[in-house]
Amino acid sequence: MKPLTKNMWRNIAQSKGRFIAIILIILLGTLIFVGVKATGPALNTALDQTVKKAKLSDVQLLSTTGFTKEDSQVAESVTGATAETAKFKYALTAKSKTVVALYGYDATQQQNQLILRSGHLPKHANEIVLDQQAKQKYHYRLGQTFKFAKDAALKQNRYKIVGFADSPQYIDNESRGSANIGDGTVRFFAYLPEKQLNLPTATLLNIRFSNLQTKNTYSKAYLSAVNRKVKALKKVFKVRQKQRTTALQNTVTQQFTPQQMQLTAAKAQLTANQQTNSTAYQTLLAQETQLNAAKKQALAATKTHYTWQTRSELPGFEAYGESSDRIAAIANVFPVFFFLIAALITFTTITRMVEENRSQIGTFKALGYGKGAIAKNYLVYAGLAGIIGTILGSIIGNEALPRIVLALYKAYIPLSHNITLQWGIISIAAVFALLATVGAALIVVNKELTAGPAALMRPRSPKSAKRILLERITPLWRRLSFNRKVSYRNLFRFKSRLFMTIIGIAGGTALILTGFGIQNSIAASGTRQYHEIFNYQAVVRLKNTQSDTKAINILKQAETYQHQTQLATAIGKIQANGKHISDVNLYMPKDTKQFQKYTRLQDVKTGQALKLKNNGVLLTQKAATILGIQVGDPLKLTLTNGQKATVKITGITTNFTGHFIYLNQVTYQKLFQKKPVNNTLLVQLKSQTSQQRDQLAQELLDSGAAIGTSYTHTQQATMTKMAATLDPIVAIFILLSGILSFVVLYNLTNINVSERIRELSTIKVLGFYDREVTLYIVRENIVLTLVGILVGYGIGNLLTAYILHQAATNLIIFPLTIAPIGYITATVLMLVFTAIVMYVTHKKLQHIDMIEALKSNE
Amino acid sequence: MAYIEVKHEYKRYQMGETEIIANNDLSFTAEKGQLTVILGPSGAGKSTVLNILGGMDSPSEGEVIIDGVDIAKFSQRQLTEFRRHDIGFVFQFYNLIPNLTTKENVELAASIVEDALDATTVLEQVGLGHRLNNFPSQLSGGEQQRVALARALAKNPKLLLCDEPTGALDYETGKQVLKLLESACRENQKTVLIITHNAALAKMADRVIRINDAQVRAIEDNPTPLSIDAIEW
Ligand SMILES: Nc1ncnc2c1ncn2[C@@H]1O[C@H](COP(=O)(O)OP(=O)(O)OP(=O)(O)O)[C@@H](O)[C@H]1O
Ligand SMILES: [Mg+2]
Repeated sequence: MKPLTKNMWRNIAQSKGRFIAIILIILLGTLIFVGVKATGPALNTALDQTVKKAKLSDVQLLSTTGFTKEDSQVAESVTGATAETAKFKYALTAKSKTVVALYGYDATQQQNQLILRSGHLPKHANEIVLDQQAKQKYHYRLGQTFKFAKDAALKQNRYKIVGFADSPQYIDNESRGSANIGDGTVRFFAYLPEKQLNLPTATLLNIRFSNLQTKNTYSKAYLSAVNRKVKALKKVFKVRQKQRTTALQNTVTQQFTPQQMQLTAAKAQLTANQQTNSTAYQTLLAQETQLNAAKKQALAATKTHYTWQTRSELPGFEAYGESSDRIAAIANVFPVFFFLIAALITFTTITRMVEENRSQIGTFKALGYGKGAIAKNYLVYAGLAGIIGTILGSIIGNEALPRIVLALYKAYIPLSHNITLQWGIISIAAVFALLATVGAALIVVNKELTAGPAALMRPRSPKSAKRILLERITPLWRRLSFNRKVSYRNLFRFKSRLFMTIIGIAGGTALILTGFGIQNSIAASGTRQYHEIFNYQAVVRLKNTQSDTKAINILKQAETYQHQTQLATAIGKIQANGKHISDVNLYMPKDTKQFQKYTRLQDVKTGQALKLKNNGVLLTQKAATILGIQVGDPLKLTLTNGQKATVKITGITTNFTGHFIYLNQVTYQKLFQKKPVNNTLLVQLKSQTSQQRDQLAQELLDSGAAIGTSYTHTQQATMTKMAATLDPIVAIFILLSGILSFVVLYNLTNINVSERIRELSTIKVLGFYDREVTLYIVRENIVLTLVGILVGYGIGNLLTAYILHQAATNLIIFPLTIAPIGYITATVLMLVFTAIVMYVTHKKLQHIDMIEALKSNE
Repeated sequence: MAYIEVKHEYKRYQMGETEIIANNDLSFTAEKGQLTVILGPSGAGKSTVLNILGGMDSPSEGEVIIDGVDIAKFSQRQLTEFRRHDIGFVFQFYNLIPNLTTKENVELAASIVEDALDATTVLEQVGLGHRLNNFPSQLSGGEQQRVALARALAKNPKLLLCDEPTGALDYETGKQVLKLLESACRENQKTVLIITHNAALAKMADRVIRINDAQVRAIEDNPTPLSIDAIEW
C-alpha cells in the first residue's frame, strides 16, 4: 500500500464517528427516497398482482333482463375478450336483515376467483362460503348455519358455512357497496352453489381481456386501454340490446297468444249468441283487461338496460390508487430535503477534516505529492461513505419500507405481494448521494489545496473575530450577561455551523410537522365539510314528491330527530373553458332561508355569507378551480336527461369534498322550463349510534317513502379512514426525520467541540466547572435549536401546503391543518435531542485532555 | 512550613507495553511570595510537575502539599475548584479565546471568582490599557502574552504558574513579560513558578530547581536575586 493510501485508511479509522455520521445521513436520505418512491409502486403492484392472480374482470355488465350464452359470444367478439355469465343478487339475512351481496358459485368459473382464507369452497347444495369480513366483523364461524330471510327467494333458507374467503372484487375491507334493499348498505358478500339462487338467467356478465393483463391495473395505459374496450363493447351491445329486447318481447307475445286467442274466441262466441250483456261477457271483458295489463307489464320487463362497471367502480379500488399516488407525491418532497441536509453535513465534515489535516497536507505537498494525489484521499473517503450509505439505505428503504406499509395496509385490503428492487430509483439516489459527498469534498479540497505547502504548514490564521450587529445596539448588548455575549458572538463567528444547525433542526421540525400536517389536513377535509359546511346528519332521498309527509312522520318518531328541510336535487354536467366535470350535484332548496341553516354558503375568499339569486348559481371552489372560472363567468349546465342551459356564476363557495351547484328554484325553472322535483330531505339529528342510523334507514326504506338514506357520519368516517391509511408512512417519516435532526445536531456539535478544543481546554484550566464548560458551548445549541424550531414551523407549513396541493384529487380539497399535537411533538422531540446531545457533549467534555490540547501551537 | 511541598512525587505514563516515567521521585519546596525557576532540558519532566502543581493532572504517587493541603488525592471537582480559586496559568502559546476582546478575555477569568481584580485595571498594569477592545488576532505575540498574564492575575490567585512564558517571544518582549512576573512577585507578593530553558534566568529567582531525566538534580537558593533589568543573555 502506498503511504498516502495507508494514511487515508488511518484517517478513516481515527475519525470513525464522522465517517459513520456521513454514512448514516446518506443512509437516511436514500432510505427515505428509495423507500418512499418504492412504496407507491409496491402498493400498486401488490394490488395488481392480487387481482391478476384472482383473474378480476376488467369490465362487468349488469342487465335488467339477464344474460345468456349469446351475450357471452357478443362480448367475445371484441378482440381479447373472454366473457362469463354469473348469477348475482342482493339478499337479506333472516334476523338482522343484513344486506348480503350473493353470488352463484360455479366451479368452472375462471374470473373473480375467491381467495380462500379458511375452510373450503361449496361442494354440496347446502354449503355457503362467506366473506372473510363476515367472520371478522360479524363473528360468523365455520360450521354454523347461515339463515336468509324468506323473501330472499332462494332454494333453501338455511345453509352451512363451510369457508371464508376474500374476493378481488372487494379490495377495501371497509366497503362492500350499496344495494336497494334493507338499510341500503351491503355488509358482506357470500357464494352459494349457482342453482341455489333460483334465478332463471344469469344477471352478471364478467369480461376479461387477455391483452390487458400485461398492464398495471392502475397505470394510465390500462385505463385508456380499458376505456377503448368499453367503447367497443358498448357498440356491439347496442345491437345486442335491441335483439334481446325483441326476442323477449316475442316470447312474451307468444306466451300470451294462446290465452288471448281463447278469450277472443269466447268473446266471438258470446257476441254471436247475442249475449254481450250477460255476466259471462262482463267477466270476459274484465279478464281481457287483466290479461292486457299483465302483458303490458311483461313487455315492460323485457326492456333491456345495461349497467357498466369497470374496476375503478369497484368499492375502494380508486381510493386505494389515490392513496398510493399521495405517497408518491410525498416522495417528491421529503427526500430532497434529506439530501440537501446530507450534502451540507458532508460539506462541513470534510471541511473540518481537511482543516485538521492542513499541516499534514502541507507536508505531503512539500514532499512533492501532487494536488490530485492528496485530493484523492478525501474524495475516496467521502465517496466511500456515500457508497456505503447508499447501498445500506437502498436495501433497507426498498425492502423494509414498502413491506411495513403493505403489512399495515393488509388490515384494510387482502393483498399478496412481492417487492422488487427499483433500480431506476436506486441509481438516482446513488447519483445524489455521490453529489452530496464527493461533490462537497471536491469543493472543499479545491479551496484548501490551492495554498502552497508553506502556507499549509503554518497554523491557519484564526477566523478573524468581528463585532456582531447586536453589539451596535449598545443598550441591549450591555444588558446581556457576559456568558450570553460570548455565546452570541460565537454564534456569528461560525456562520456555516449556525446555518447548518438551524437547517438541521428546522428540517427535522418541518418534516415532523409535515407528517402530522398531511394526516390532519386529509382528515380536516372531512371534518370541515361535515361540520362547517354541511350542518345536517342525514340525506333522505324520497321515492316521489308525495312521500315527504310519510318520511317526515317516520323521522319524527326517531329519538335522534331534530329538524329537516326539503329540497330538489339533481345530477348534472358542467362545462366551461373547454373543460367539464360530470356528476355535479345540483341543490335547489325549497326554502332558501331555511336551507342556510343546513348548508353554509360562504364566499371562498372573504368568508361572507352568499345568497341564492335569481338568474345565477353558486359553484363550489374546487369545481371553479378545475374549470378555471370566476364570479360573473357563464357556465354550461347539462342535466342527465340531456337538457342544456347556460347560467352565470354569482358566487364561489367554500367546500372541501365533492362538487355542488346551489341555485334557487326560480332560476332552475327559468333555465329548464320546468319545476324541480323536491326529492330530498336534509335532516338534522342528535348524535346517533350506528345502530340507530341503520334502524332509521331501514324504517324509511321499508315504509316505501324513501329510496335511500345516507349519513354524513359514514362519509366522514370514510375520509378519516383515508387519512388513516397514511399513518404508517407518516409514522416512518416522523421517526426518520427525528433521527436525521439528531444526527445533524450531534455531528455539528462534535465538529464544534473539535474546532474549539483549545478554547474549551483553556476555560477548563481557568477553573470553569464541568457544567459551565458544557454550557459555554451548548448555550449556542439551545439558541440555534429554538431558532431552528421556529423556522421549522414555517417550512413545515409550506411543505405541507405543497404536498397537499400535489395530493389533492379532482373531488377533494385538503385544507392546510396542523394540529397542536404536531407542533408539540416536533418541539418536544427537538428539545429532547438537544438535551441528549448536550448530555453526551457534557460527558465528553469532562474527559477532554486539556494538557494535550494546549501543548501545541495549532 | 514551605508554601509548596512536593514529596516523593511520581508520574508514570503507560504506553502500551512500555512505561514512561516523567517524574521519578521528585521532592522540593517553594516558599510563599518567592519566585522559583524550574530549569531543565527538553523532556525532563518540567511541564509534568507544573501541571500537577496547577491541578491539571494528578501524580501517580507521592504528596503535593500546597498551603497545607495535599492536592494529590483531590477529585476532579476539587481540582477544578482549586484551579478556579488558587491558580493562575500562563502558557508558552497564549491560549487566548480568539473570539473575545482583550478585556473580555480577562473578564472571562474574572467572572468565575469572587475576589477578582478589575479587568481594565489589570490590563493597564500590564501596559495594555489602550488595547482593551482589540481581538487577540490584532495583537502581537508579546501583547497577547501580556493579556494572558493579565488574565491569570485578574483571578487574584495565590500561585502563578508559567510554562515557558517567553518561549515564543523575542528578547525584548520576553523581558517585558518577565518584568511583569517579577513585579507580581516582588510588589504583589504572589508566589510565582516559572519553567524555562534559559539558564540565565536563574539569577532572578529566589530558588532554582534543576530537573533532568525526570529527577531533581539540584535545588539552589539565591539570597540576592537580581532584577530582570540587570540580567543579559
Ligand atoms: N500524556 C503523556 N503520555 C505519555 N508520555 C508523556 C505524556 N506527557 C508527557 N510525557 C512524557 O513525559 C516526559 C516529560 O514530559 P514533559 O512535557 O514534562 O517535558 P518537559 O520537561 O516539559 O519538556 P519540554 O521542555 O520539551 O517542554 C517526556 O518524555 C514526555 O514524552
Ligand atoms: Mg514542557
